[in-house]
Amino acid sequence: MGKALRIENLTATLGDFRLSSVSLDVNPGEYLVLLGPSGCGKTTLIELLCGLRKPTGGRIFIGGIDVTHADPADRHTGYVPQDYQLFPSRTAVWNLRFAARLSRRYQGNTEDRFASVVKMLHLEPFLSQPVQTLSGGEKQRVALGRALMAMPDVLLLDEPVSALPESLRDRVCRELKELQRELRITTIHVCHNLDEALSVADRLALMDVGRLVQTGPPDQLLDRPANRFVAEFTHCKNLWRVEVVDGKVRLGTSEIASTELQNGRYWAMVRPEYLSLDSDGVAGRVVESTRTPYAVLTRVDMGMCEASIADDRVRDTGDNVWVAIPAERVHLVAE
Amino acid sequence: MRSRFGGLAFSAVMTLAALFYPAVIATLVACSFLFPRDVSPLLPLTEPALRHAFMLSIATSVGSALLSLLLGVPSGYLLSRYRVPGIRLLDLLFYLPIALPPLVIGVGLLIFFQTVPGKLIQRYVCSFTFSVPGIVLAQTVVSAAFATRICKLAFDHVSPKLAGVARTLGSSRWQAFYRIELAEAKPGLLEAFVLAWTTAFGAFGPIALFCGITRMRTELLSSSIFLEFSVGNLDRALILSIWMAAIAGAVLVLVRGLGKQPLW
Repeated sequence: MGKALRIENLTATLGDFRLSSVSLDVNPGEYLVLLGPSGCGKTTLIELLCGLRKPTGGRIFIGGIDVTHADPADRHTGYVPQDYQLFPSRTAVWNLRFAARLSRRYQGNTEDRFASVVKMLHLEPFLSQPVQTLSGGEKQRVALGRALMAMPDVLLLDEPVSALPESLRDRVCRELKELQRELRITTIHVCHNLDEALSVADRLALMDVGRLVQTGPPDQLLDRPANRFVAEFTHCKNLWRVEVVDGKVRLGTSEIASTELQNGRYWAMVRPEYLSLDSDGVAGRVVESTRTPYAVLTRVDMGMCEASIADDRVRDTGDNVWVAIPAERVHLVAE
Repeated sequence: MRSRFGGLAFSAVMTLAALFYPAVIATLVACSFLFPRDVSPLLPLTEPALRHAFMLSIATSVGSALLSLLLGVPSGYLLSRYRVPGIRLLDLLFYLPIALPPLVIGVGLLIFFQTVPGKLIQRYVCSFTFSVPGIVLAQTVVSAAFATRICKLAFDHVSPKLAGVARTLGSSRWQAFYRIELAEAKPGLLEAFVLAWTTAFGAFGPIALFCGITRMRTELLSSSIFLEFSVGNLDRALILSIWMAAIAGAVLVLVRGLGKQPLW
């Protein structure tokens, strides 16, 4: 199967910032979330893809065609910028029809396309309103509709929900995902929030200071982070320095052994939800037990290091507990 | 109590300060109207020489305001959008005509047309010194700087990302500029036109120096006022001044209406 989007060793310079050799493939109909902290180069990468910035090296293919130096109008990307950038002095309908007037892709009736976009995104009630009078959620839908009117091959969403109130974000993310499934449109969604990314992504691509650090399905990034940065970004919480001797490393009562493990210092990473507080395990004392939206997070002092355990019970500070560490869940990365 | 008094005092001081300048202008206008005079108020329409000056003032100022906008739009766009070495120097150059006394512009133009390139232009393109095209040129040089400044401000208020989005939606660079950036900057561009026009309409010094004041040829309303005043016809000068103020006011109202800005 051909790739909907292929990025090969893309580099770009923007003042002091440098995007260094980014390579990425996106499959047709895939929902890829480009994730990373602020200033890591996500927006720069999106702007390179839609042609608003020029790369200093590398190539971009959309639908198998090299568009590295193509005009933005010829790339067939649907770009929804972070702050939507609706044409401010116009109405919602003017914004929507703008793309239809110019697009060279319309073979049939533009009215059919317009009607289906309006219906799909429920834009009817505010079509004739000036965009400056719309709410954040309405603006977001108009911006998405405008991008879809151009019949893009790839949809590029730059922080599509960050300008919305917290209470709306979940719902809008669900709607985005449903829409993407329905249209089977290849989508790249930029965000810096892990919860948001996990709620929509088929695959994640994590960036840090101009580099792509790890790409893969959400499970892979969560369970098998490529390095300490990925582990910390995905809230792994348990990061322990360990030493492998003779292909073995001991973690409490568990032992990890592999002939592939070379002697040396490693980071042992295990997510809090895989640890449990049983009668069998490493003895420790509860430091703190706090509620989070989805679980109770308990920090336990195990002497040499601290462990974070996610389960459903609040423990008292100072309680004696035993931390069970399942060896098969521990991921080792050389330091 | 203290904060309430402080708030009232603040509002009162700001209001008084803000009303001072309009009050001065209103007083000047009122004095002009109340000054005793025994000439017809339709002077610029009835006397052939003044009618010519009146028509010439309107025609040249509109022409030079359009030319100023034609120069000001690309220059203002350049100053607003591009961050390249030397742009600050260019910005400074655009300020120069605003900072200079207008007479200097007249002197500069006169000197330029004494040079070889200037003489060649006069010979093969168009005669500027002491002629109507010269009036438009002098007015444009004075007013284009103002137009550029306002155009720059207008484009500063239009996000450059809008044009980028328009291009991803299928428009060319020109279409994005024309349909989005220019359209969004429209109120500011109208303002630039008005300012350029008022500057051109009222310009006197550089035109008198560069084109002279010849009856039925290069005499403008502003020069007529000077001529009438210099021979002691104060009441005639006053009538012409009132006409100029009325025309400027009418244009301002008209253009504000076009820009759909409320007048009050």
